[in-house]
Amino acid sequence: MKALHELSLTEASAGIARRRFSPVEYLDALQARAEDVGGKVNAIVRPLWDEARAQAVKAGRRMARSGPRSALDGLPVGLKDIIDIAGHPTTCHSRILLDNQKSADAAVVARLRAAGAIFPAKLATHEFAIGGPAFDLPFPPARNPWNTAHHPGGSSSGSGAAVGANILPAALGTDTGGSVRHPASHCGIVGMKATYGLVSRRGVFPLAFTLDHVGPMTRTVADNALLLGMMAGHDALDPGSAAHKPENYARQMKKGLRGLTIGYVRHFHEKDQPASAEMAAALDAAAKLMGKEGAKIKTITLPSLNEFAGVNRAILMAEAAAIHGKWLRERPGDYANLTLRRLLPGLFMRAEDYVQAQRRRRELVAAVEAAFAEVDLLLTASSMDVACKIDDAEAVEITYPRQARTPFNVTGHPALTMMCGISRAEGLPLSLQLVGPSFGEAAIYRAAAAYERAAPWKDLRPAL
Amino acid sequence: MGATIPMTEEAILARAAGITTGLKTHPKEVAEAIAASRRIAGAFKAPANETAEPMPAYAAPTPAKGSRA
Repeated sequence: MKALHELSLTEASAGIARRRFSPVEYLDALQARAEDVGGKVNAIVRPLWDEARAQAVKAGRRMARSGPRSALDGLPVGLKDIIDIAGHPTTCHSRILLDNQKSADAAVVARLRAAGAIFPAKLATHEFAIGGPAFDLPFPPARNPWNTAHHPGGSSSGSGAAVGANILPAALGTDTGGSVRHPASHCGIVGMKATYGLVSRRGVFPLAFTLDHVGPMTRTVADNALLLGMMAGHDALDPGSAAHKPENYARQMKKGLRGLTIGYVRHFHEKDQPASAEMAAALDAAAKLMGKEGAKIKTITLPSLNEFAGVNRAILMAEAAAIHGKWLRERPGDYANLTLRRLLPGLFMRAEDYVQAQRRRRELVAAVEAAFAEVDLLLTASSMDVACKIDDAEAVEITYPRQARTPFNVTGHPALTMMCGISRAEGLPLSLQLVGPSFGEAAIYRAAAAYERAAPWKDLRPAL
Repeated sequence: MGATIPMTEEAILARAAGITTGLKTHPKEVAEAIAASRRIAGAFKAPANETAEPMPAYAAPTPAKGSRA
């Protein structure tokens, strides 16, 4: 029998509904887990257990009186510390914003709060969601729960570490060049970057306006679908918000893979950025298993991964410079050195380069759209390597181009990463990525859930 | 009039970008940033069609409720 802190969101929701335990007992078990292992992974930068406990007490009383508001009622969700919560600062893990007190919830937090969710912690991030694991900031960097000497991925590093370490069942991250999917890949959990505009960004500190997404990070596919369903919805006050009705993203999850055609984008990890032998073998094995489960697997060719990465970087740099320009000019020493080095190039991008990147972006979008005329989903690598050592600056730097996540920030298509094996050499998670057409999240969850059921990785957790 | 000291290319570019503090306190990072910006701009092909429209296309605002238009 699982301990309370090991339960998924869905299992905890069922346990509370059956009155096996209360929201307070569940939260207390998570707090005990955080006190036990939290110091090893540094996932939490601002604990809010007392406030969350008061919310859990209220949720318990409410449920006893009139039943749950939703399947999330009384359940905890962690927040990357670039997402606003009323009454607390959003520091962005930076000394520049240590006193950045917020009086209102981010739109996505307000949606979850209305569904009954509670918020026990603000979580570590790479500074301003771009820096990288840095040791010259007010808070230590989060560490990988599978091996704390290793990088958990980023920038939603604390979200990945907290969920991977069973401190929280779910957390929100943000993703501009892969920052939900990178820590999900390295921490052995499920991370979704939904279609651009599906989840409101209002109240989330921006990194690059046309690439930013907020996404759910969970240990199971079902939990991810549940959480996204509560997060999604049009927000008239977010200029990038899509006028798309929220859906029940779990509705296709029992249908299995039969009838789906999956385009396997081999050249990303075989030619453009050759993956480690273990990662390549795990991807081939996942494709084979999906085929065995009934999917038709077809090799698909897209533009070079390096083209997508170049466009992502040019747009990201230019848009981020518009946000950080004043601080970069007036107080460069207040950034971590790694963040400064990541942001400064944006001040030297020419306007022409930005517009050229946005023009090339349209062509790249068209190429991916053309692929979806042939297949239902794409299967690609996420990371080309397992997580490197966190204090190996050179290895961390190499990590950034060695991934296949940025293409879908450029195009805005939904993309999910999940575990597809464990490295024999290092005992760290291997990962895959499933990508769908715009607003095709339900089909992604269908394929991911079928793979999760068929593959042997679902119950593997790190021994912290 | 005394002779002027010629500025390096990095210093000219940094000043043009409004980076004066950083040029003094973080000259190495500024030089790296200039090189990185060139690499980034050269990392993708510009569309061959000079008239290609960038993304996202500009859209005129939807008339607000109560607009006199």
